[in-house]
Amino acid sequence: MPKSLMIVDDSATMRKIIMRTVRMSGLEFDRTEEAGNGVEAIEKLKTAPVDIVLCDINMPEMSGTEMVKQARQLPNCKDTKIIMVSTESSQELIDSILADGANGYITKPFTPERFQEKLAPFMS
Amino acid sequence: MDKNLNLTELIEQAAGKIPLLDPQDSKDLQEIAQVFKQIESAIKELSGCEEAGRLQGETLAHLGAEQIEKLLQADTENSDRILEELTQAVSRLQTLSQSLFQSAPTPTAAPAPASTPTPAPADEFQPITIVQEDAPLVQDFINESREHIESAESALLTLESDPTSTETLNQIFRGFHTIKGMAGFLNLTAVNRLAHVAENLLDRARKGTLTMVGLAGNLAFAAIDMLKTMLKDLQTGLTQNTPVLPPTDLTDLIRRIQDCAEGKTPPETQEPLPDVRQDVKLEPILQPESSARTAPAASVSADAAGAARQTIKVSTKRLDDLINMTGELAVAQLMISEEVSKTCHTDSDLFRKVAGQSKIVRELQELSMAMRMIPIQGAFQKMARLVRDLSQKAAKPVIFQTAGEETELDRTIVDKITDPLIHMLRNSIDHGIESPQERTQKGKNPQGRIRLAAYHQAGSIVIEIEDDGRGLNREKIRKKAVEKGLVSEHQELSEEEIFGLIFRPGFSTADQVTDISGRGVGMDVVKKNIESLNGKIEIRSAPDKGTQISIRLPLTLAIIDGQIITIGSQRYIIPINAVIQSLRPAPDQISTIQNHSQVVIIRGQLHPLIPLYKLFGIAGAVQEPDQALLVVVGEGSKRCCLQVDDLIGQQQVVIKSLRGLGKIKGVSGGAIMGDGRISLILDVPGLIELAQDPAAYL
Repeated sequence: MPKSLMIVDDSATMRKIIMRTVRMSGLEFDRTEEAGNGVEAIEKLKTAPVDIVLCDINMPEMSGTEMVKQARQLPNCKDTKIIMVSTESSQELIDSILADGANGYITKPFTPERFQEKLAPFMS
Repeated sequence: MDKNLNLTELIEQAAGKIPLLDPQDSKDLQEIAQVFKQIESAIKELSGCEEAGRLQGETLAHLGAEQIEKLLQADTENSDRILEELTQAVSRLQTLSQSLFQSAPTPTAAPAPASTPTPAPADEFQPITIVQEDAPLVQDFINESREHIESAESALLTLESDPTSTETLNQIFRGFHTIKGMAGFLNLTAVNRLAHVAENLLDRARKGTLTMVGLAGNLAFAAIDMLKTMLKDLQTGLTQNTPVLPPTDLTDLIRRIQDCAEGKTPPETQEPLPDVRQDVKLEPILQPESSARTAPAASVSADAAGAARQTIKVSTKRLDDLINMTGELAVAQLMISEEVSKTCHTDSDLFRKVAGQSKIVRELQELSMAMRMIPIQGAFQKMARLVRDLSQKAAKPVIFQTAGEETELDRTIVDKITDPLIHMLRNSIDHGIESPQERTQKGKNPQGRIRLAAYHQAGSIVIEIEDDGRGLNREKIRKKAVEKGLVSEHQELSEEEIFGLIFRPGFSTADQVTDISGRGVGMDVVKKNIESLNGKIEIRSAPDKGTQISIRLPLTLAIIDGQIITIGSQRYIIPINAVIQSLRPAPDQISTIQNHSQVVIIRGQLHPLIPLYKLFGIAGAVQEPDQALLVVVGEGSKRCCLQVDDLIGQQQVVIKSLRGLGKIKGVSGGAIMGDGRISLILDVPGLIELAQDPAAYL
């Protein structure tokens, strides 16, 4: 089944790097969206939900942690898988974000393999 | 260490094999695939080296092996490309392996403390070459990092007055953090390391275990400066496809930042100017100013982050082309409407349509002009930083205030105004503002005050630099000017004339050449710069009260308001701002002096007369000055009279440069008129210079 992806990161360059790594991991999406912060992401998700969201944590306007909480309130994002991509690696933080509704966690720096490993389960 | 040797050997092996590789030969391919797999596992086994580098190495080796798999599956179509990529991968592995070994601790080295995630310091960074496939991303990285650095810098300046603001600290932290992350992925190890230690420093401040004043603040500024340099080098490397060398003092800076972040710095150097900052806090007047300065900066960074698709970047070349074309369109439009009003005045319908079109074209032209306009904020921010550094260097605490940063003017003008502003602010701090002791003795606030403001006035932009220092010393200026032979000892000089002396070439009153100013480049250069922008500069000063310099600039360099004049059958344009008056002289106002040149007496003042018809060699013009019209042009005491046949009218014209003709004294450019003919724009300062030497045109 074709899948759609949204990359949320405040750095445009980082979004491209993530996009490239996703491509290198061999995963294919028929539609990819981008957002520069949580607010923008939520706005876009409201009108055009995606299957998978890759989301940074430390962003201006609305952080990734807050975004996860809000996305979970959206009725059309019930099945959206949200995977956090961040340099923050404390287990405490990861646990709390997973408890808030995130589906996975990838720490930066990442590799194509890591994306493959974490995203493949949601691709079927 | 054996493992390292092994890895180096493996990489060398791969490097040796790839150029000889036959993409059709599966045995060859399997061999090299094996080497890549060995490299991958060798890198995995490396311990204690930088994590980001290790992952990159692993990925490179892994991808290399995969590429070869593709070749094995007889993907011959892309074999050239794949071989090319393999070569690049190996060369990156070579560079990477060197830095990996350097960052891996030797057995004798003390283990890194577990609490600091900072990788062990690399003593030296390798020159890097940007691989072709990364080039677009690296370009993005440079552009984006510049924005982060700019906003971090302005936030750091805000921090000076409010060192504990969490939001500001976060903003700076995020800038370094993002740069670090991006640099890591792009193999820009040196940038990555610097951003990393700077991030750590800010993290400490964010957590409240360090205050960003004194040394810590200076180090953050130093990190920003270093990043700027490195980005510039990176840009050069990218454009010219040359290796990028790390700056020589980088390792030292990283070490100092790291020491400071770890609290290893001797306490006595931590606070070089403690009293200044307390005073800054107490000064109520600074509060609104500093918040005014922060607000636009913060919104800029939010824009840069969020509105990825709301703004686009356009090269200035394209913008200039657009403006030029709209200028041409306006001229073409003008020709049509003149034609219509001449020949088709009975056709009111056509007339109305053409008038409607004219209006649209005019609006289009205004719009295209507006695209070149940028707020002066960027230049002001640079100045805030400069004043901060200079006042520390000179040990003269200064409160720096800015106003009107949102004032917009032509991008070219903003770029060219920076140097003169730097120069004048240097003068202010070096010569204007007194030492705190001297100020206290005079009963002034020990902190000096410098104000930089921009505002619109009568179709121009005014930039003012004001200080509350000792003011210009009339006697000293006069004495110096006599010494330099600029004026004679007994010459009567008005205040305006005395102040005007400091703009004369080679004039400098600084008793001593200091580190800050007095390097022989004087105010004459400032004045030249301002004049090249069609601007004017004025000085007001009062002893011990301070000095105010105001610069009046046109909104744009692309259009001027012109007075159209005729000489014979030719038309010329005089920039309106240079015109003082026009008159039809009485015969007794004109007298001829010894070298056959003429002067005009207007209200008791002598003005040299330039007969333009002679200068430009125009036949059929009015020859007798008392039959002609005279236009007085110039400024201050530098004036002259231009002899013309008639004044036609005033009009805005689009300036076209006379490319290929070089600099012609007396003419600054050309413009296409409504009827399609070309008129030259007169260069008034050039004409005044010509008037000093009548032999040139008589």
